[in-house]
Amino acid sequence: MKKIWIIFIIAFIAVNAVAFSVFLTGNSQQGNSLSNAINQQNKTGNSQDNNPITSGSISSSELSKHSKQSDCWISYKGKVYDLTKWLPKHPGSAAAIAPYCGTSSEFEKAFSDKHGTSQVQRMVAEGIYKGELK
Amino acid sequence: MMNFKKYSPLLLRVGISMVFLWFGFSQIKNPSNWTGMMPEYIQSAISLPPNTLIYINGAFEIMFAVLLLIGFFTRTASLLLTLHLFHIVTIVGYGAVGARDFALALATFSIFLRGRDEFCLDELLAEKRNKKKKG
Repeated sequence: MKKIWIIFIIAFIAVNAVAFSVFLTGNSQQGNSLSNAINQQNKTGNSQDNNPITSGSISSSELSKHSKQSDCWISYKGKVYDLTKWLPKHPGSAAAIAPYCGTSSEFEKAFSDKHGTSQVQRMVAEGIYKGELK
Repeated sequence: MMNFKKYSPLLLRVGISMVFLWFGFSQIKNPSNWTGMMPEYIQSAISLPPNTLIYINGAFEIMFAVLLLIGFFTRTASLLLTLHLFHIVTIVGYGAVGARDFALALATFSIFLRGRDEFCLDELLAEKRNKKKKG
């Protein structure tokens, strides 16, 4: 009987420790990051008229300058987004997106091939809107 | 000198279980954070919303992680979790995440190969059965 108690006590502690860490700490931040990103995008969208540097039209040459993992802009359906902060959080790793930083049609094709249209909303929420692609 | 060898399989089993529990609970808590991992062929094959599929996947991982944790149907649970993790490795691909998941899959497979240990419920039930047979 002693061993069965040890088994269930260990199981009880392990399950509770993991549940606590997921529901009360770390992962709650992950869950909040999506809503924060949406709020951030709403703010960026509202400030388009006031901030001509990061809103308005962006040329292809300007887009191509932001082609590094540390400074990653992409264009999707004519809109430019800054995905730099999102890259480390991408479930499929930053390396999956990094080759397409600074691109438009290449990124669109890769994104559609991988996700179809199922993740568009999330990408738009996580990225920082920069402006329209000229 | 205490014999620590007997705790080694227990430690492995508990550690691996906690990994699956963490990911299972995370998926239950925020399924939208995980829908990006769901392969297209699964979404098209099963006509359920992506969030529902994530809930199902999370529930599967939690259920079998608990079985592994208490050592009940140890071999079955470890085999299913191994196959599940190898599938995830093929989705994630070569990289930091893939490398770690591959190692975890091998560790889970080692539990399958070893089978039940001294601290498994399976072992206690087997001992009880043997006692009954002798008695």
